[in-house]
Amino acid sequence: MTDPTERQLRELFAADAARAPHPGGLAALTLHRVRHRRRVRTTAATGLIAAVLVTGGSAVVWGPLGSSSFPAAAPTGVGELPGGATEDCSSGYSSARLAAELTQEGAFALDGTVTAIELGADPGPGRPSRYASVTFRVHTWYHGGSGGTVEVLLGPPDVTSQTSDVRSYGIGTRLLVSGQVAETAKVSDAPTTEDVAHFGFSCGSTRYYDDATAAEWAAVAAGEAPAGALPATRAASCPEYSPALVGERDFALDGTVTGIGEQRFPRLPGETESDGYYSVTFEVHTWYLGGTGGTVTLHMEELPYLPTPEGGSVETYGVGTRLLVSGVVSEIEGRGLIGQGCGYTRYHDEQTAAEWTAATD
Amino acid sequence: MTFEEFVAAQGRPLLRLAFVLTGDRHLAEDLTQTALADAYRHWRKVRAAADPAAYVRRMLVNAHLSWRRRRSSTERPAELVDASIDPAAGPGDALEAREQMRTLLAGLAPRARTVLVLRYYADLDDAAIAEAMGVSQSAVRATASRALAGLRSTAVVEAVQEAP
Repeated sequence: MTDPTERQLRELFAADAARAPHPGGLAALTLHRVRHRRRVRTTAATGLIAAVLVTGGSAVVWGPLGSSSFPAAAPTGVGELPGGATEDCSSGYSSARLAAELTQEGAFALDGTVTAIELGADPGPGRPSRYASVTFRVHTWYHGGSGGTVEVLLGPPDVTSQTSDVRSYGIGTRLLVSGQVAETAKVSDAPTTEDVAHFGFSCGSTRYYDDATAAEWAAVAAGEAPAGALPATRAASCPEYSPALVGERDFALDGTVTGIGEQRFPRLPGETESDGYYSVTFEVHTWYLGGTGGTVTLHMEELPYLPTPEGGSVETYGVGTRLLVSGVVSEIEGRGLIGQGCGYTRYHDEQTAAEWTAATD
Repeated sequence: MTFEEFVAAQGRPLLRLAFVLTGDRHLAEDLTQTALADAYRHWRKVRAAADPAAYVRRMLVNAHLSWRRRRSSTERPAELVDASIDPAAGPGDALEAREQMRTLLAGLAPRARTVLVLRYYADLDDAAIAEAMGVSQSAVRATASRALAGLRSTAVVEAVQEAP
């Protein structure tokens, strides 16, 4: 039988253990310590840093310090940064989505190179961290920030495939990052003790750097009108967009939004929920195909707002937005014209308007 | 198993053990990182061990005892009690008894306190404690026995002294 002293010891130790610090970023901190010691040792011997970090069977070679203190082969890629699989990414990336996101309070967008990564808190055995605290050397602040460095909470640098140990990003990776400064109290395992932090958006709003996208971000941040397809606000299957295929729609128009109603189509017998289409009225400037009259009310597949992973929403179009809309006549009698997503409804620009004119002649 | 996977699974229990051993969150973090850094440097050996967690725990315990030896000339027992430990965490008598026990533990030799932590917090048997500390099982039993006897007798003496 356990005597009182032994019982007291168990209770005391258990109580102390419950107050132990959180192990957030333990692996990253440990590796930082290992690397730091290696750098100090190697620098003293040769004046160069040539430490080899072996992680999970792969080797990352660190080149000489100087103009570039990053690994010779920093992880890189094209387009959307992988990860964030826990988020609903059905909405995808577009410059219009970025423009909408940057209207949020605390939004930021930058071009930067990763200089340090600290993994987030341990959410339990077998479960990956949700966040890594990533330090960037900032080349350009497009929106909402200043200074030469910033720490951003991103999804961890996951391994990109089962056949490779290459991480989605690492020290030296150049990224275009957009996100929002938000309270950390909403995130239980954020690897920071600050009250607020820079949270990077997922779902394509953080991307590998390329010149074209960087120029696009600069244009968006400069307040230029959004261009391209309406951001996809729901998962949908549809034919890939091309201007030529607009000619195969039932209707196509150039119009300005004058009113947005509620979800137009209520449940039918046997349906469990409404289809969620929004009733949107347009002042029509041009009918390219399939209609007449100065105004029309369409049923839009794409919502006029974009849900964000953080639980909020941003407007994607509203009264005054000029759109090029094409779509089909509903197969259900009385449901009118459906403005399709998937690229078949786009922000107006002269070049696309000319393409639609040509496609529907 | 990668190093990161190991830390994801064992980082928390190691940090908790370090905190119970040191009573100081900064020391605990430093101690845990030291042990894990050693594990990282010898990762092949750790991964190949029959029980990698026990292997790293031994590294942590050894580092702790090594630190204690180096710091013993300047450290006061009171420093073992971390300011972050909430004194209002328990009801009156139990809290008082717990604080008394904490004080008594702080007065024990580092090896004796470590044996008690491994036995009553980590729930290790004498063989595992001996393995973690690099001593014989009989040494573990003797150390634990003396430590417990010391705690009991001191507690009794203090209780008598405090009696009206």
